[in-house]
Amino acid sequence: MTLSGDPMDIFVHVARVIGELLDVKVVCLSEIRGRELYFLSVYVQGKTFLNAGNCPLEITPCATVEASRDIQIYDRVTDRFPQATFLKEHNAYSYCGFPSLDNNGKVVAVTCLLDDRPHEFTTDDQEILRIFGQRIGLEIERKHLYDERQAALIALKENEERLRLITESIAEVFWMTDVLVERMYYVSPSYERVWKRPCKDLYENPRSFLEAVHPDDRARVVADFAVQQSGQPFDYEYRIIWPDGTIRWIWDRGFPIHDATGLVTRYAGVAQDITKRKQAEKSLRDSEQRLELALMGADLGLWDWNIETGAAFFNDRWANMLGYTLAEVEPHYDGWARLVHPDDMPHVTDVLDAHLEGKTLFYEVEHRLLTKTGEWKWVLSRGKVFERDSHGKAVRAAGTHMDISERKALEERLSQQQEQLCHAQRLTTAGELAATMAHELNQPLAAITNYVGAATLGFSDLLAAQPALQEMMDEVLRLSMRAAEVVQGIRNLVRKQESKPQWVRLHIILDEILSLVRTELTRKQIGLVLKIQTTLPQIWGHRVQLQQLLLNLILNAMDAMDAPEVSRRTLTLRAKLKREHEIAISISDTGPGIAPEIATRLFKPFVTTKPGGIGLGLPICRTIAETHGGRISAHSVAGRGATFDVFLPVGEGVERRDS
Amino acid sequence: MTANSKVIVVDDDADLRNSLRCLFQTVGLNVEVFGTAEAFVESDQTKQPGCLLLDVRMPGMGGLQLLEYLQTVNGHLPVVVFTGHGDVPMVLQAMKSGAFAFLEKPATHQEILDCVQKALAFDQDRRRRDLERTNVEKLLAQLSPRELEVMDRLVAGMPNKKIAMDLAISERTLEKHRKNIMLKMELGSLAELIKLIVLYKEHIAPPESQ
Repeated sequence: MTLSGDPMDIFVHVARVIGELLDVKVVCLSEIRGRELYFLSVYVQGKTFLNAGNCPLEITPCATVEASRDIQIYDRVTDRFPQATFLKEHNAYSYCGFPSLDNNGKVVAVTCLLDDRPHEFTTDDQEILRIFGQRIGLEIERKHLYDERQAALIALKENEERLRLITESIAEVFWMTDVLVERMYYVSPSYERVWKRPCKDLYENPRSFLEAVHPDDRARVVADFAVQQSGQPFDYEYRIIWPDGTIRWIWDRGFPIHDATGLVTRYAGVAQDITKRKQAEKSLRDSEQRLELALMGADLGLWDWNIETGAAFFNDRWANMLGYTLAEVEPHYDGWARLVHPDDMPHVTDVLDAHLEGKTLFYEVEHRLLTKTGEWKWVLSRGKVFERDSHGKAVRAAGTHMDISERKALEERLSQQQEQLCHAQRLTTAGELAATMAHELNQPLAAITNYVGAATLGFSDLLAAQPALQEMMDEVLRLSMRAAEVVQGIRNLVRKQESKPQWVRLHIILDEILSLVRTELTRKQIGLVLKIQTTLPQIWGHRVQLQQLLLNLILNAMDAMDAPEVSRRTLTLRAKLKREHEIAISISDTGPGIAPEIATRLFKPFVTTKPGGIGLGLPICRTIAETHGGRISAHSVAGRGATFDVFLPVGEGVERRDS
Repeated sequence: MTANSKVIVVDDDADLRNSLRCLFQTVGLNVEVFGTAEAFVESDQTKQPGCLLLDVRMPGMGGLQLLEYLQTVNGHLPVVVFTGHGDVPMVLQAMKSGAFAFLEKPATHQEILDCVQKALAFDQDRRRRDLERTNVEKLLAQLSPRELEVMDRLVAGMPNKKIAMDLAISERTLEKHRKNIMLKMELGSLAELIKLIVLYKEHIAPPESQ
């Protein structure tokens, strides 16, 4: 008989020993739990049974044993305790029961011996049974402890199983090591999924996970082990390389585990694959960089305005554009508003308000801003509200600034040029109108004087006889001369305002004209062909007039090609030295050509094909050409286009300095 | 003024050219008018005795071009050009192109008539001189090369002896040449010969020698 092992084995053994020793038919070792009797082991005529059932304690003789805490012996026991069925089953006649007590003197078990005949239990027998009783009491106690341990063990197993299920099913790697990572207590199987390396390796060599760490990050990770020794929690990110070369990002967090004395003995933590998050972060960063690059490339300043607070963000370029450093600009609406040109502010405010109120899709306005040097710079500001509150009120808007000062300057220059040209054109037109008037009035006036003169000469006899008639004829003559002089006077007046002649280069004039019409050419999809001889002598003349002459012809050519039936639109400009002292310039279009009915009157004033035209364009051209000692002519092929030729004498050899 | 001389008017303004026709007819001149320079050129009257009154400001060929064309015609009629008042460049251009005179608009009928009369007189004078030149040339053409050599030296005032020596002829032969020359040139004295030839060379020589 041993003292170790399963108490149940001992109970079986004890029941058999008692049965054999005292030669009884049945030995029944029962534990009392509550008011119930549990048959732990039963010996019946050489056979033993375990856990043979239970019955209420009170109906059995054992209850008297429990109550008396001592041996009880009965004869004809079945008769005395008729409700205890087990007595009947064994046909019991004699009964001897003895108790087992625990440390506290409580009866925890009753062992009874049964025989189907009268059986005497001697005092010696009873002493032996008392010793067994003590032993059984001990074993019962041991059994209780054993059962508790078994239950705890089972609970622990269940716990472990649950933990295992958790750690094995989560995507994160759960791990636990000693402080110095010399021993891997646990790593969840997901390590194999995340690292693509066997857990076995890690258990064999806890630092083997480092082999997978990206070389660039390894030194940093190793250095972080020092943090572990200090007992601080850690949190870091590093890259690992899978055996197939794929690079993954890991987020590893660890925290110290203290023992009962407060000493850090272990670290536990979670490692997680965050590659997707990193990629998302990177693509966000990339797109931010791209935006920055795009802004840089387009040379745009950036503004981002919190409309509720007035706070604003400006980028470097925004400030640099105006000559400031970023630090010199107050990051606020006011920082901007202070710089806007006061004359532009009302318009800018209108445009801005309209957009904030949702009336426009974009905010777009050109205005001036004050630079650090105190100059005004034109910017094109474009933006958009991209956040509104639940009431639709604008919360945040952002946009860009583009430096358009150069474009503005160019526009200014162009408009000045155009204005100059317009002014010159008005002057020339006035001059030409006067010249045309002079010519057109002089012709009939000259005819009148001729007729009157003829009459005076042809009818001298009649006039001599009629002095009054002579006087009238003289008056008609005088007055028609006076009318002619008035016309001439107007013409002279206009001519005085004209500019002085100068040396003029045809190339320069053409360049200036083309800069004025180039946009229009593109808009009207007219191709431009230039065949200009590179070395042309200069012309002595009026720059603006020559400009106007050529501009008129070019505009006419462009208008001629406006008709929808014109499929191919080409404007051809030619200039070459023809003969020795003459430059031949031709302007050709691919329009419908000149209508035959006006071809002969083309250069007459007030002949026009244009609705709203006054018909002075070509007469002016002719006057200008002739004023410069040149001439102009036109020819055309119906449906194929028209060509205007201008011939201008070159400066040398033409004495016109005194004109 | 010869009977067949004529004033030709080229002007694109019908009123003006009709008034001019009326004016010239009134003072008894022959007149013909044209509306364009081309029409005048086609009428083949560029050598017509008389004068041309031309408005430079015309469409098509234009006055100046007509002037330039006439420059190429030997013995064309003198051209009076109508120009705008104070149009100095045009006047210069017209003069360069061989215009006889120009009239600034507006001009009185008297100015026009005076100018036209001058042109007609010039034309008549030129024609007369042309005729004389033609006559002299006709006479000169009868002279033999030797006689021409003798004549050149006579006109140059060379003494007979020197001429005979120069040409390696006797004085008698020279005297014979001289008589033939006077005969052929229909002249009575050496003085007349010298005068004719000097005048011819100086005044009525063909234009290319100018």
